[in-house]
Amino acid sequence: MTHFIIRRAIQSFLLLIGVSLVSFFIQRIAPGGPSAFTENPRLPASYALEQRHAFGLDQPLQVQYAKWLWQVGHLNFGRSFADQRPAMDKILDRLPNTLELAGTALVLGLLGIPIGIAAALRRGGIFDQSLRLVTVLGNAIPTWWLGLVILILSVKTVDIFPLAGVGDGLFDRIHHLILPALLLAIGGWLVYSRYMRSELLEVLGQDYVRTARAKGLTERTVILSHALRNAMIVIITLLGSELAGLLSVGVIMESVFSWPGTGRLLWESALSRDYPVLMAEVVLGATFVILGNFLADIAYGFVDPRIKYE
Amino acid sequence: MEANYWARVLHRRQLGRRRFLAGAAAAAGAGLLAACSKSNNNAPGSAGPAKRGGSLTQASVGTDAKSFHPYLTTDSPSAAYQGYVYGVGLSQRDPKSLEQIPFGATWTVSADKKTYTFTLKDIKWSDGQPLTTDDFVWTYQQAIKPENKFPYVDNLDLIDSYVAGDPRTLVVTLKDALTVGLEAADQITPLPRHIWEKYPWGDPSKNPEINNPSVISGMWKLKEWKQEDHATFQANDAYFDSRPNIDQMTVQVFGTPEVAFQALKSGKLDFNPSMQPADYKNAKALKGATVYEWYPAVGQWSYIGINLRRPALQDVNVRHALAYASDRKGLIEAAAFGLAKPIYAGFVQESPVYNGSVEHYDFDPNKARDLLKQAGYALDSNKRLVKDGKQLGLKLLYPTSSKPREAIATILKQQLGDLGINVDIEGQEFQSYVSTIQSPPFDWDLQLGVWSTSIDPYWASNLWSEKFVPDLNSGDYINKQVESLFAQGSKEFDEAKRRQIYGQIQQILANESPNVFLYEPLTFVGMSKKVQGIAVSPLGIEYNMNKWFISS
Repeated sequence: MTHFIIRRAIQSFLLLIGVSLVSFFIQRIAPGGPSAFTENPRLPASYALEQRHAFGLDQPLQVQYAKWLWQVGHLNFGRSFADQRPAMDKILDRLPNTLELAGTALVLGLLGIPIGIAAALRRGGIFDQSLRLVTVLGNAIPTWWLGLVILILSVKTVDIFPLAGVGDGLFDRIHHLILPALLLAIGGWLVYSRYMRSELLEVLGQDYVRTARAKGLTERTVILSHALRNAMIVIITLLGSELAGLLSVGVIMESVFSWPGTGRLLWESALSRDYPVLMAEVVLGATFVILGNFLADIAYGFVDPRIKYE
Repeated sequence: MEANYWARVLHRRQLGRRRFLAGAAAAAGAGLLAACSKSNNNAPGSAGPAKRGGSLTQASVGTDAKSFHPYLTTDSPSAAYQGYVYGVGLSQRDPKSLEQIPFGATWTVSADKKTYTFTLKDIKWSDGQPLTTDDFVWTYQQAIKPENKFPYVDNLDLIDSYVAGDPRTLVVTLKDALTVGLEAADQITPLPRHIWEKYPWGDPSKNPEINNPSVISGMWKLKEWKQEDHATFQANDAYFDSRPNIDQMTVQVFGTPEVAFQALKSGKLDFNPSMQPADYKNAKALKGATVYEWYPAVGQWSYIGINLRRPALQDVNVRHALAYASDRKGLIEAAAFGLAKPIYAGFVQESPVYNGSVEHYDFDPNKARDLLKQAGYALDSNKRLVKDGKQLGLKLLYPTSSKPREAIATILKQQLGDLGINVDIEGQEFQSYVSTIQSPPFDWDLQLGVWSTSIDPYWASNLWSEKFVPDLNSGDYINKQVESLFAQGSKEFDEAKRRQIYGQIQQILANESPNVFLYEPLTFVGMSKKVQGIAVSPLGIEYNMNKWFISS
């Protein structure tokens, strides 16, 4: 296990460098630059040039990348062009908000698992059929659109939900969290219920399940300790990438719900070519993906006795 | 994103720093008064006496401020916040005449019109310390240091010396006598030296005042700022002008204009300064809110930029044909929902030097056809406009962040297509669009742009100057006569002669059509009916925010 962790850590590190290299060059090759222009005749044309020089953007790309890498090696992600604050500080300010939303949505989304189990156990029944209808519909509707519609409907009907922001204090925060978290959780319900259903159905047809039944185990034991445990592998794989997925869905949902998270920061920095913040976000996002997959790999070992890390 | 985003950004920036507005020192013309004539249609009838107390929530749509540092940013939400906490200028604009009148100081001007001697009023910082000329001079000295990277530092070049005579007397000498002189002398927003001196000027991680100003001079004192969520301000009891009637103001950030509109509708929001033209009619029908509207003295105008490096477009007949073929009225209906006025020569109708007698190029496809014929183009059997066997093809570029410009591009493709011109429209993300129009190989023929305006036309000269090719003057328009007229105008203190000079500039611009000038949009905001005391002016409504009050 230790070997496995060390090997994975080295792989992950190299992967991170690769991700940063690719995204660094993609960002810089895209036309336009920071503060290139505002439609204001009073801002001198020289301003953009001076800015570029001040931030070293007039140097060759490979030099800039090497400098960036060296800085990051010293845990310095540079300063935002927009307000001169350290890029990582800006992200860390927002991260709790994003984790609050993404984490709640993730946990709520897990409700999709029992839904999927229920559907699998009542295969072909009314519940199963209506679930299929709902999931197909749900997948076809963009979440941001649903978000806007729900916000507008809530204003027109009950009007008890806040429209923007994260709120202050525990109860206010929960109050602000309800709508966006539920909406993001719907995505989880749709995905997990579908996967859980099909996976469980597949496992239930396996020989070892028939054997378990043949030796007289109760249906409850068969499902909980034999079938379910094996069906969970695919869910764990999904969960591994889910955290990063929620962070990226946040880009849109955070705008709809005016949620001050890292997603909106990413979006804004991309539009204004705030490279230091953009790169810090990319590194952070990539770390989440890698970490998620890493945790999933470890979790496989626990649920599936066939998987052992030597 | 919000339509016309940058135009709004600039507009709000200039409102936020109203003492910095460009403008003639002399009286404004009648056109200015006409500007707000339409605005009082729906002003509340009986406001009743002003009351103290209550709170106000306003929206910041799309994004929040970046920083309270007045010398670090160029975005409009930041400028608004900076104006709230440090909004002490030497002069301000009269909301009716737009003349510059005393605000934080009174002044005298030397005979050569280069030296302005200001006498400060009795102003105190929020910690009780007096605000003196020392604060002004210290701030000026920081702002001009190149290493402090003040974005507008070039504008401070107009100043020759900036010194304190005594704690109440500030002497500013300009390099040249300019009509825009008072504005040039009054560019500095003072910071409290006794607090700021202890910290590095521009480093937010070492200078806590940058994002959490503790000692302020403006009408609002920051209570709490959660960036990209909300900022809460409290009335500054020590504000030298008069303390705001409203006790507390919150700026709530909204990610999308749609949700901000719903918030206004449901009463969760009192003031929505960023409304979409598409919501105008619905907003007018709201029971709980009033729509205030005006054509701003500091507004913006839309245009079709022409790339004069292209041989086909160097022919003035072709440019005139493009002007005749662009249906301004139709474009205003389609792109601005009818909420705009046409412009004809790069000057808005509110400008004190506006010249209405230039050629208007009203929509006339037949004239356009004639002009194209004169330029040597003829329709072939496929109704394509050709010269030397090649069809006239134009690449039209616009930024996808702007919904109005997207609409204009689509309409132009059809209108110019009817003449036989093949218009290839291409939307690009804003920074890419900028980069394409400003850098070699200048791969565009037409582009849809917006410029912000100033009250004094001084700053507009950059748009038509060779010095600003290919940045502000991306179409490569060079006319030495226009440049020398702008230089003359900036030094002409006789109002009638000034009008004549700028009138001539507009005549030349209309005749040469380096752009097709389109329109200036109406500004409008939604305000809860409980907020009273608002008086619409070409300056907007926020200039007298301390007089606003909450009625029961």
